[in-house]
Amino acid sequence: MINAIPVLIMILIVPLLIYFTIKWLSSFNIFTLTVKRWVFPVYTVILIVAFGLSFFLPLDVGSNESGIQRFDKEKVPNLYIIPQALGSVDLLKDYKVQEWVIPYDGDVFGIDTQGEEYINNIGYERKAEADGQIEATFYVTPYVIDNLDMTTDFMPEMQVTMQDDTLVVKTPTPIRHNISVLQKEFPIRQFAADGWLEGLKEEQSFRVVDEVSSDEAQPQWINVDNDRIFSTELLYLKIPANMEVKLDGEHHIFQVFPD
Amino acid sequence: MSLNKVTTRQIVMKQYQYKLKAYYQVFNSMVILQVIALLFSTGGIMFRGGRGFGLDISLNTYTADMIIIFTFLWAFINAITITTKAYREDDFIFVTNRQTQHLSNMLFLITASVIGGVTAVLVGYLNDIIFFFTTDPKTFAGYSELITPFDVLTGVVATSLYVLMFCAAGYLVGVIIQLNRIFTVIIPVLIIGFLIVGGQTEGIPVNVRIYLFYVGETDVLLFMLKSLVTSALIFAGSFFLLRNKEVRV
Repeated sequence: MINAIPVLIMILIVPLLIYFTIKWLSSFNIFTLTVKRWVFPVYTVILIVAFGLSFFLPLDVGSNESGIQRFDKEKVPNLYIIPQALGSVDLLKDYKVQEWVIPYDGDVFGIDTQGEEYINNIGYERKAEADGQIEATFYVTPYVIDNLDMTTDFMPEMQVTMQDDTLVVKTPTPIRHNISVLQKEFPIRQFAADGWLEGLKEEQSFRVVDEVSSDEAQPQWINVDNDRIFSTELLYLKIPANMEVKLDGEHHIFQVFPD
Repeated sequence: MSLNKVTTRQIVMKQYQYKLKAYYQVFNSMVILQVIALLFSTGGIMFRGGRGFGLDISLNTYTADMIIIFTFLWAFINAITITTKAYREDDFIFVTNRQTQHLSNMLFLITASVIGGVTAVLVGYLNDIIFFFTTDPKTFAGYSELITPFDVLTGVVATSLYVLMFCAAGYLVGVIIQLNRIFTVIIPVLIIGFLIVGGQTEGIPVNVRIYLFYVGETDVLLFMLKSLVTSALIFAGSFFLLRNKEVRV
């Protein structure tokens, strides 16, 4: 429902504001006939110059210092499901953030996470050979708002080391990421933006709520929902053939069996 | 008695040209309104936050929607103003009747709508430039959507048509007030009452239906049809209401 109160406030306050502004300006006696005649033409010239100038400034996403990129994929893999569902992480190479190769001679190791973030999605597969090296790869899918990728190139680094018989994962302290974006006015967005007012239209229509969505049919993929995609993360380990991972109650650790 | 024969078209065009020159203050008030709206637009309209792995995200969205809305308000007030007695008197500089008065007023309002629509969209660019130079470059991401020149052109046409609808509505209100001064009280009460009550009805509220009928239309041709038909009907209604009234009252 559209809230009428802001509209009412605007209807009441704006004319008063304009009236008093004009009164105040008039008190300086600046509105001579000549000034009045030139206000609109000068204003028009300023607007035309601004319009022309806008083409020379890096106003589009990806062209400026912020480093933010437009997210152009229709769907992203759900890292909580993909490894087990497909028995492979080959699809995830676009989402690789960091990787480590850790030498280890033992037969078994446990996993410990430290830091402000928590990783609860840890998968592992056994290599064919016993090469004495644990290969760890960290994957994160982007957090997307308004089709803008807020994650890629902004992820703080984390550390993975072996201490005695424990693989220690030191997660980073979250960094604050402030971003300002411009939106064109609604009469432009109305015809240019995908899914314009889709939320309001759905809210106001008598839709069938129990309809099976494509998300449910293919849970290993996350579709763009209301211009937002939540990120998922995965720590994936490739361990030597003769090695075991000590399971604990704190982490969701699962084995992947490649085909 | 003059022997000159003038057609309705000639009179209308003369009145229209006169109004374009004489009513320049209408455009000055638009300038003031759009500049005020520009100041209001600097605060951002939407804040969204989120939490990803290792990131605490905040996204501020800035748009010049406020300028568009203020331009609608200007159009509405401006259209009421030109139906007031002081403005009506100007028409008697020329030979006139109700028909030529209406037609020249409509032509003036159509012109004002185009000017309002074009400037409202252009102020958006001024807003973007001001924002670009006043924001930390590290946090400035630019336009969130891909906008083509065709989208901008469509936006200008759509804004002008919105402004025209508000002009037509304002003109109708002005004409109704001419019928009886009591409507100066009744109409605001009806509008405010409708905004409140219209949103509290069961099912889809009436004001939401109206909003979605115009603003929810994503086909530009259908939108043009809807807005032009609406404006034409409202202008026709204004003409119909005053057709039997004396020219000078």
